[in-house]
Amino acid sequence: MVVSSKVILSSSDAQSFTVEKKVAERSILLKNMLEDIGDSEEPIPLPNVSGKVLKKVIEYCEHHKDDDPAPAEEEREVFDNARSRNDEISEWDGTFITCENEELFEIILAANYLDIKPLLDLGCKTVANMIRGKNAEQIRELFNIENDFTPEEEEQIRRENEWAVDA
Amino acid sequence: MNAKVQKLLLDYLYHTHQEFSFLLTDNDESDYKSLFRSGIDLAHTAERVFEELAKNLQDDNKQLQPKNKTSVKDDISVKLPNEVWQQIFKYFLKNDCTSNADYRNLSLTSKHFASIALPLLWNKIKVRHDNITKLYSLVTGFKSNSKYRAKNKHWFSPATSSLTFYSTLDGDCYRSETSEIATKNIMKCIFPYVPNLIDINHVIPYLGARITYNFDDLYELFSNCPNLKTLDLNSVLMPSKDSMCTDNILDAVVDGFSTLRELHLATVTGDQEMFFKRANFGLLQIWELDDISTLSAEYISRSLENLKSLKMNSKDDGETTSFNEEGAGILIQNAKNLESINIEIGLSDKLLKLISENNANLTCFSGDIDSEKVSWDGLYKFFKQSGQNLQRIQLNFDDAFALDKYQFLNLSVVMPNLIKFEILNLNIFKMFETKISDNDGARYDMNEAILIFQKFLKNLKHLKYFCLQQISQWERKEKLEFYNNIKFIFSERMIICYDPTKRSN
Repeated sequence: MVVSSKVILSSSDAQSFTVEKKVAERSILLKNMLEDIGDSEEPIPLPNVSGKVLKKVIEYCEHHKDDDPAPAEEEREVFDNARSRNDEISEWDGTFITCENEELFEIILAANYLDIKPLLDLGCKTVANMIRGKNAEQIRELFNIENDFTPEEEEQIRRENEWAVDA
Repeated sequence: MNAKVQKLLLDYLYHTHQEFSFLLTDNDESDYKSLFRSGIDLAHTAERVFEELAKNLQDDNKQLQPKNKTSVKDDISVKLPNEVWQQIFKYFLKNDCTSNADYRNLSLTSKHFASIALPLLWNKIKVRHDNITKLYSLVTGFKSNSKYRAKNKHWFSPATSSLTFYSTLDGDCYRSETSEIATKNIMKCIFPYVPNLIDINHVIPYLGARITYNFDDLYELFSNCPNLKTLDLNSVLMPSKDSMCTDNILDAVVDGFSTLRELHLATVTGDQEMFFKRANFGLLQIWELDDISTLSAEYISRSLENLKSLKMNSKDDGETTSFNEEGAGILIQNAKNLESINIEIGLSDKLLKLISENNANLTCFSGDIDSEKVSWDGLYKFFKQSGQNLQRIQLNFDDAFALDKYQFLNLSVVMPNLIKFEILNLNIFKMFETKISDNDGARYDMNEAILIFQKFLKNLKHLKYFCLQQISQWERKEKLEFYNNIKFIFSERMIICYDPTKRSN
C-alpha cells in the first residue's frame, strides 16, 4: 500500500508494519516490486519473514535510510583497497546485531530474501567473527552441529590439510 | 533407509499394488462404487500402515539417541542456505587475521561445512612461511609420484585461482638469499599445476623487505599462468643472474605484464629503462611501486590510460632511502584517469600541486604528511583545488601539532563528498618535541593534546567514518585517557578504529 510515500508490509504471521517508502526501498526486492506494481493500496505480503524479524529489519533500514546505495562488489574493492581489513562494523550496527544465534540467523535469512546487501554483509561478518579463533568442537557447540565425521574421515582431512597448519 | 522401515514400506506397496491391479481390471460403471469403497478401505489401510511406520520410526529414533543425552538441540547451521555460508566463509578467509588453523578447523567441523569451506580453501591457497618445509616435501612428492598427485590433486589444481605466499627472511631482515631461493623454488614447483591462477601475492613479514626475482622467474610464472591478473610480489625485478636475458624471455615477460590489471613491484634494477621502454601497462588499473627513474617514467607513461590507482613509496635498501620526485611527477601528469593516489614517504608540495592540476577524477587520497616536505599552505591549496570529489582521505602525520590548523579548514564546504577521514598514525611524541622547542621547554600535556584533537574532530562531525589507527609513543594508560576524552565527539554512525578498550593498540 502506498499512501503519501508509505508502504504497508505484512509478515508471515499477519503482522502489519507501515513504513516510509524510502525505508522499504533499502530492500532491493521491495524496491523492484514497488517499481513494478506502482502505487497500490494493498499490503505487501512477506511470507518468509516473521513479524519479530521484520520489526528488526525495519529498525535497521530506518537507521540506514539515508545511506548511499550499497556499492557493487568491484567498486567496494577499489574503495577499500583489496587487502584492507573487512571486518569493520560500526558501533550502532554492532549493537543492533548483538542477539541470540537463532535470531541472528533469522535476520540473515530475511536480509538474503529481501536482498538487503549491507544487512546481509553485517550478518555474515558477525558470524565470520564468531567463528574466528575457535576449534572444530567449539564451532560445533556454537551452532549445535553434530560431528558426522568418522575418526578415519577426520584423520584423512587432517592429513590432507597438514601443509596448511601453522607451526 | 532403516531396513525395518524399508521392508514395511515394500510390503505395503506390494499389498496396494495387488488391490489396484484387481480393481483396474474391472472398469464397469457398476464397480465404481466398490472402487470408491476400496479406495476408502485403502486410505484406512494406508493410515494404519503409516501410523505403524511412524511408531516404528519413533522407536528406532529412541534407540539411536545416545543414552547420556537428555535433549538434543537443533542444528541451527542448516537454517542458512549454502550460498550464505559460502559468503560467511569468504569473509572469514579473506580477512588477514584468519590463520590456516582457523580454516582447517572450519573444515573439520562437519561434512556440511567441509563441503563448502574446502573448495574455498583450495581455490584461494594461503601458504605460510612456517609451512615451507612441509610444503616442499609435498610438492616434490606431488611432482614425482603420479599416484600421490592424483590423490591430492585438489591442493594445486586448475581450480586454484589465488595463491598467497607468506615468506620469511631469517637473519638479515632485508635480504636472505637462502630463504629467497627456497621460496622461489617452491613457487616454481607450484606454477605448472595452477594454470588458472589469477592472483599471486607474496607477503614478506618485514616492512620494506624485498625479495629479488629475475626475469627467468617471471618467465616461468607467465608461461604457466597465462590468466594472471594480479601480481603482488613486493619484489625487486632484475635481469637474469648471469645477466644473459634473452630476447625471448624478455618478450614473454613484457607480454605477461601487458595482461596484468594489478601490479605491486618495488622496482626494476639493472637496465630499468630497457624494460620500461618495451613494457606496456595498457590494462593496468592498480600499480604500486617504490621508485622509478625519470626516463622509465616517460616510457611507461604512454600506456597508463586505464590506471585508476597509484601507490608510491621511497626505495629503501635498509640503509638509505631514495625517491625520485621527478619520476613520480611524470606518472601523476600522464595517468589522467587516476581515482586513487597514495604517496607515502616522498609526498611534497610540488607533487600535491601536480595532482591538483592533472588528476581531476581523484576520489581517494593517501599520503605521509612529512612536515619538512609538505607545508600547511601546500596541503590547504590541494584540498581547496581537489577537494570537491574526494571521498576518502588517509593521512600519516609525523607531527600531530599540524592538526591544530585543521580547525580553520571547513571540511564540509571544501570536501562536500568526503565520507572517510583516516589517520593511520599520529605521532604524539613529535607533538611534544615541537611544543617544547616552540614554548621554551614548556611541557605539552595531555589536556592540551585532547583540546587540539577535540577541535579537529568537531570539524569532522559530518563524516560517516573517522578512523584513527595508531598513536605512537604513548603508554596504554595515556592512550586510554586520551580515547575516553575524545570518544564523546563521535556520532553514533562514526567508526573509530582506534579503541584501546577493544583492541591491543
